[in-house]
Amino acid sequence: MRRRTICSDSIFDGMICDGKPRIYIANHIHSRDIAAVLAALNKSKTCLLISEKRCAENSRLRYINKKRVITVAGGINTKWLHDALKRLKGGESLLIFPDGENRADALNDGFNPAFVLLSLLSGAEIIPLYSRPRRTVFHCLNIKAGEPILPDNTAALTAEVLKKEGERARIALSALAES
Amino acid sequence: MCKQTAAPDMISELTVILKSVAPNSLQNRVLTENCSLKEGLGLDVTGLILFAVAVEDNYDIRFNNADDIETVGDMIEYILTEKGR
Repeated sequence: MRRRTICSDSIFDGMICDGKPRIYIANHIHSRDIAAVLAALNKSKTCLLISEKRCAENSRLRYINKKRVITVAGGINTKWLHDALKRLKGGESLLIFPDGENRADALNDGFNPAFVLLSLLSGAEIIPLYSRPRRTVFHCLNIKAGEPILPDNTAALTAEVLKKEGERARIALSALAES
Repeated sequence: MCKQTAAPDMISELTVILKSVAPNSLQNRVLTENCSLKEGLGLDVTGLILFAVAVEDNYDIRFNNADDIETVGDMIEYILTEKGR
């Protein structure tokens, strides 16, 4: 029997649903957050972008349709990047957890800014999502969506620019935690 | 173009591409075929992906099956193989 993550009770505050492809960046404190946020974004046709290692570690992800998951291999393998760009151009959104670890203070450690590269190459705006657990039984979340972020595409595409824009997104996501 | 003459030309091209995406990488080091992609270029994960994307655009190839590429020499061999197809 397929087990469903109960998340229809997750509350989405400030979410814009107009069918445009977007890149959602979210924090996660618990390993169940990934499936919960993805299910809450279900109607937006959203795919999850996650590293192969974390995908293998998180047993709850096996209940997610494999077509909705893009795994990132290490090194210079760029298949995931081209898959993700193809999905964005096809009208699907992406969900990424750039903090990399499910800890409450992982936001302070910095982000992997690869999502900025996806935004610059596709033109999709970045939406920060801050999730806070609402109750511990049947894992549900309060999810707050922030203002859309569009990275500066006038500057040359360098690693420094990606880091700077990634930091800007991290600060926007951290600000949602305090509001 | 034989591999012996292709490699130094490509190393200088790759150096230019690397400097364009990460001006602070390499610093006083010189790019060689034995340089490791992960440690030898002075790049973090994102810088490495950016470098890969820039190389793909420059040579019109894709690093889709690039799990075995560990050094700059492996990358040059991969590029020459893909271009030869």
